[in-house]
This record gives sequence, structure tokens and C-alpha cells, in this order.
Amino acid sequence: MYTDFAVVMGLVHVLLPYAVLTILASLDKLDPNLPEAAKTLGASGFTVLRDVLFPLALPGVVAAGTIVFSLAMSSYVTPALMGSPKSKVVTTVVYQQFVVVFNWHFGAVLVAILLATSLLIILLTLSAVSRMRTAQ
Amino acid sequence: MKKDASEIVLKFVEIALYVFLLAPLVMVVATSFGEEAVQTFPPRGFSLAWYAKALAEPSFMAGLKLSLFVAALATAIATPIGVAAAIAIHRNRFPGRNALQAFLLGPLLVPGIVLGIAILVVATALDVGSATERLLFGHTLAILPYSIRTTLAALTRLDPTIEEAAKLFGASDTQTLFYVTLPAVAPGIVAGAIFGFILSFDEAALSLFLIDVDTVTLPVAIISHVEFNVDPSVTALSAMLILGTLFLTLLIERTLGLRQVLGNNA
Repeated sequence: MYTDFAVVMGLVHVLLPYAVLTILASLDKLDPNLPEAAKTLGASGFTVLRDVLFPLALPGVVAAGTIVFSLAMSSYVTPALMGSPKSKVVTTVVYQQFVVVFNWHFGAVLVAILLATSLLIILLTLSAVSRMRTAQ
Repeated sequence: MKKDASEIVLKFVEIALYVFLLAPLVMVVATSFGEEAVQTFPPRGFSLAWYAKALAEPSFMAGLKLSLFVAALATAIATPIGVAAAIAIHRNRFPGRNALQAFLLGPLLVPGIVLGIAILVVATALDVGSATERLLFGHTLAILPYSIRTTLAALTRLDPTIEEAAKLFGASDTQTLFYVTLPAVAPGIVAGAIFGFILSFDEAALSLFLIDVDTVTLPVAIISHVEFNVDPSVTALSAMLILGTLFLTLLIERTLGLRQVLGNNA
């Protein structure tokens, strides 16, 4: 408790379902005959996973990573409760600036940076995913 | 032989994942039954005293009332707007349709903390709105995308010939909407509403900036309680909340399926 590692574990716990459901959605769209065909042609279970399922689900994996990353970056509750008071994340600093010390200008700058970063990452990944989809 | 080994590894990973996901919940529930004044695991003795204390704690009860009120009203406002928007987006091809859809789903991409500060800054600058009104406004915005998404998902799966058949038999547009389209997509609407209710009830980062001293939602009340107390009354409260959320989540699973609500179909 009260370490950076605890925050990471907490966030993994909270956000894991988002990753699972996003990747599951892209696996659902796959043709179930594909892994069957690979098995018929003699691929082992691990080979099917590595060479067939993973490449095909990659857009979903990337999307899951993006969603989890931006949710983790903007989460307040987990770092506030599980982190040490000494190591700060941007959201807890924002809260301090707005609610405790009333330095709204500095807080607003931090929020703008947070928003710009997460929008930028989402845009970059979306374009990467659509390039991957056209490549398939 | 090789296949057996990989199956055992897979099974082991699966069990480890379940333990990782469920152990904290089990510990919270177990701790809530302990007798000691600090949270201990495994719990010593057995008592329901912390449940009584949680139910008697004024900040929890006021927070519970406010959170239920805000979640119910925000859901009641967001659902009709979301359904109307989803039907308009699904049915018509008008200029700016994609832009409108992106705009309405926008709050999904904006972190709760950013939305909360944005509303706070605007409400302060214009000097309008009580804390309850700010909370309602913010929560409605935050859950609107889910209502639109689940309704859109249900509409996409609806066979368009059913609506055409109704019109062919002489039903007016309004009759088709109320007797054919809406009943057919009702599971999607209900799932979106329940999910929105849970999200609003659970939302803390957004509410942190919209509350005032006398208007505190339950998640925020829990956070401030945990900052200064270590007694198990908060775990007793959590155990009750886990039970309630579990019930609502099962309800979603029965109506539309969790995959449709959370899945990546935007």
C-alpha cells in the first residue's frame, strides 16, 4: 500500500475488464473457421494463438491499450487512495490546485495538458488501427 | 503431451486472473464482518456492528440519498435524449451526421476530471446553478454517450424490413415508432439506462469538482471517510454496494449483454 507499485496494481485491477471486453469484441468478429483451418493444417494451439489469432485481433489489442491508457492517465480515485501522498499524479495535483489552494490558472493549464495528451494519443492510435485494418 | 502442458498453463493463468480480480472483493466482504475497530484480514470474530455503524453514519446516508437522486434523474434525462439522437443518427443521412455522432459520443473521450473542472469553471464564471444542478448536468453529459451507443447497437441489429412491413400495413410514422421500433430496441435502451445509472452512482472524479460542503455524493463521502478513518464501516458499506451493483449488472447481462454495452463498437 501507498507506493507507486500499489497504484499500478490497483489500476490494472480496475481497468482489466475494459481491456478484456475490447479484445473480446474484436475476437468475436473473427471467422471461427480460421483457427480451425490452422489446426487442420497442423498448427499447435500456441502457434494458432501467436500466428493467427493475435495478428487478427491486433487492432482490438491496440484499441484496448489506448482505452486503458487514457483511463489510467485520467483516473483520480485509485492514485488518491492507494498512492503515497509524496508521489503525485497529474489528477491529484489538479485536485489540489482547484480545491485546496484555489490556483485555478495553474490547475487549468494542467487539465489542458492532460486533455491534449489523451486526445493526441487517441487520434494517433485510431489512425494506426485504421491503417492496420486497410492493410488486412 | 505438449498440448496437455499448454492447457495446464492456460488453466493456471485463468485461475490466477480470477484470484486477482475477485480476491479484493472477497477480502472487503470478509473484513466487514470482523469485530475489531481496524480493518483486519482474516477478520477476528463475527459481528454485524459495522453494518449498523455504516447505516447510521450521516455522511453515508446523505450521500446515498443524493447519489441515488442524481443517478436516477440523470438517467431519466439522458435516456430520452440518447434514444432520440440514436434514432435520428441511425435513420437519416444528413450533412454533418458523422460530426454529430462524434460530438454526442465526445464525453466518452473526455476524462471525468476534465469534464468536472470545465463545468465548475463555467458555472462559476456565469454564477449559475446549485451543487445539485451542477451534479445533474455533469452526470447527464457523462452518461449520454452510453445511452446513444446501446440504442444504436440495438437499432443496427434490428431488421429494417420490420419497420417497412408496419408502414405497408398502414401504420403511421408515429405508430411505427411506438409500436414497432421502440419495443424492438427496448432491451438496448434498458441496458443503456441501467449502465448509465451505475456509472453515475459510481462517479467520483467528476463529482469532486461539482459538490459543495452540504451536497456530497456517496463515492466522495467514502473517499473523505477513508482519508481519516480505518474502521470497517466503509467495508460494510462497500459490501452492500457490491451486492447492489452485482444485481444491476446481472440485469444488464439479461437484457442486452455486457459485451454490447462495453464492447468496442463505437
